[in-house]
Amino acid sequence: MSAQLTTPPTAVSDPILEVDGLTMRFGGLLAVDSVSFTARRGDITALIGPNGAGKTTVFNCITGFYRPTAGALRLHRAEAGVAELQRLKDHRIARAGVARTFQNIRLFPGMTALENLLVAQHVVLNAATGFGIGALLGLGGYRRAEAAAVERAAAWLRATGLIERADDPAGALPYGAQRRLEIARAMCTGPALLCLDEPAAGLNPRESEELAALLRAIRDGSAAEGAAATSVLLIEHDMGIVMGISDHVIVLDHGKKIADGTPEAVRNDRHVIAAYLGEEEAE
Amino acid sequence: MAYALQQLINGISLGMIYGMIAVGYTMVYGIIGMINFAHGDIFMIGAFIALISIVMLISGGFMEGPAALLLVLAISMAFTALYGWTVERVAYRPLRGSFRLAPLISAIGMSIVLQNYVQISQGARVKPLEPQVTGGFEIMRDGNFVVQLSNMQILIIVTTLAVLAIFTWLVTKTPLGRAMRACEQDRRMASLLGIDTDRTISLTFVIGASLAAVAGTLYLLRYGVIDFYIGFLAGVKAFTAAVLGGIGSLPGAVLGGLLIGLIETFWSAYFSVQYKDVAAFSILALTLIFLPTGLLGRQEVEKV
Repeated sequence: MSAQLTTPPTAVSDPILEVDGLTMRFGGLLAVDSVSFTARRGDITALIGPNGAGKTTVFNCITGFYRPTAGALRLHRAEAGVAELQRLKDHRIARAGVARTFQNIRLFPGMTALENLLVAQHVVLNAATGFGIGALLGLGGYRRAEAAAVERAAAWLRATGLIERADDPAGALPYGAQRRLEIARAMCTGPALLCLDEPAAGLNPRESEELAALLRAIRDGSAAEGAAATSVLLIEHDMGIVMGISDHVIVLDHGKKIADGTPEAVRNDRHVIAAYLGEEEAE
Repeated sequence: MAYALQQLINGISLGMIYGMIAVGYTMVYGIIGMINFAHGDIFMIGAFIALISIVMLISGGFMEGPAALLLVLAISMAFTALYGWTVERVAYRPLRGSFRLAPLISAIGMSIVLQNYVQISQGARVKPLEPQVTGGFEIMRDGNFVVQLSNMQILIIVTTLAVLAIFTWLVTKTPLGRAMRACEQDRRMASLLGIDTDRTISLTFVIGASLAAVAGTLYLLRYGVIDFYIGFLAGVKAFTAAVLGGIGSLPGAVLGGLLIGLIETFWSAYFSVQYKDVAAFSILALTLIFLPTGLLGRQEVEKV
């Protein structure tokens, strides 16, 4: 598998995700126009740009919501080789190691917070239980797997400050708590890459700060007991957060990449300033 | 008084059968938002498979005792589940993502296919079966009227409760059940978490079909006559039960089944047998007009 690795366009030492010439066309609209970038393993990579720049479309291609018109999306996993995401069905993408959250939260509102996190561990649990048959017979392996899953869920509930709300329906939680629960749920799938679509939208300044700390901890693998270090790809409008926590920033405008570099480099980039403030009219 | 008690017993045992079929309707509706109109015919298939296996066991001389009944039940569940899986695979899955009415029409088509298939392969004549479960208890005597609780009725009630208990546990406590509920609420999101939604939907049909098989087997044992057409009426009544209980709600389906069974029985006992179906279906009309979400209909949680 890993032997077929083609040389990446931008040579980066240790990539987690390689986006290569990604193009997405809806009828006559070119939403994403051959965008290429690489996210490094162990980084928080931010994808920014004005409204309608194509950020969410890129996300939707990565997570299997859309099938790209052209281009390749390669996920480099530590032990399992390279996965070509654009060829996988969406549940296979999740199993390959990509998890995501949504701009408008998509929890299972009628299930409890704990159940939401257990659903995320379905793949592991199902395999451990022989597709439910073991569960039916009450086999020991199933009990152990279920106990481990609950333990993992509890660790993430503690990490996100939701342990006291474990048995509340997810739909009844306050907005900020739902955002954190969605991140916890994504992490419970044990992803190699966590994709967050505007995680700070609608949060107050204190909650945003907590979020930034949580994302750093997720990157470093110190967010919850037994958590692995996880690379993060982030869409965010809140520049305070983006500049504060990102290791690497990619800027899109009108479906094209216009800048790619460290937060400092991007902040001072002429194209970026033009895209955000309008073309050379002022000054 | 004694007469009413007898009707209560009869109504409950009939209602349990309706309830079991109704659970299949409600589950499928819950997970893909579609009324599986072929479900009544799956019930009929279950009854036929039970009949065939009983006849085979009798000719082999093995049809004795509860173990044989259990074997019949297992055979019927296994084969009917296979039918349920196949129906979903050939008639509904290709239409997923199509417009809403497409799978509904496909379901009606599937219902006709199954009826005609059984009519041709098994013949159109009514199939009788001599009673396999006999005897019972005398509960009370009022003059000449004897209130009876037959062993068959006990079997129906015990089997239904046991099967529903196992099933409820499956849906609430196991990974499979969680996956099913997750698919109900947001199928796309479930698949983004790595759940194979196609397989989860298939399993829903398999479980629904095996419950229908239990109902079909019990129906056969209780009434002793079946033909290729029983699925239609039983199916529509179970559908009424599911709507009455609140479509999408599992306890609602059982409750609705019990109510329909009781209404039908009491109507036949006190008014007229000819109009019992009218009574049952008037309930459907009234429910749809005055209580569209049913008795235990789910409240939709508002998305924030």
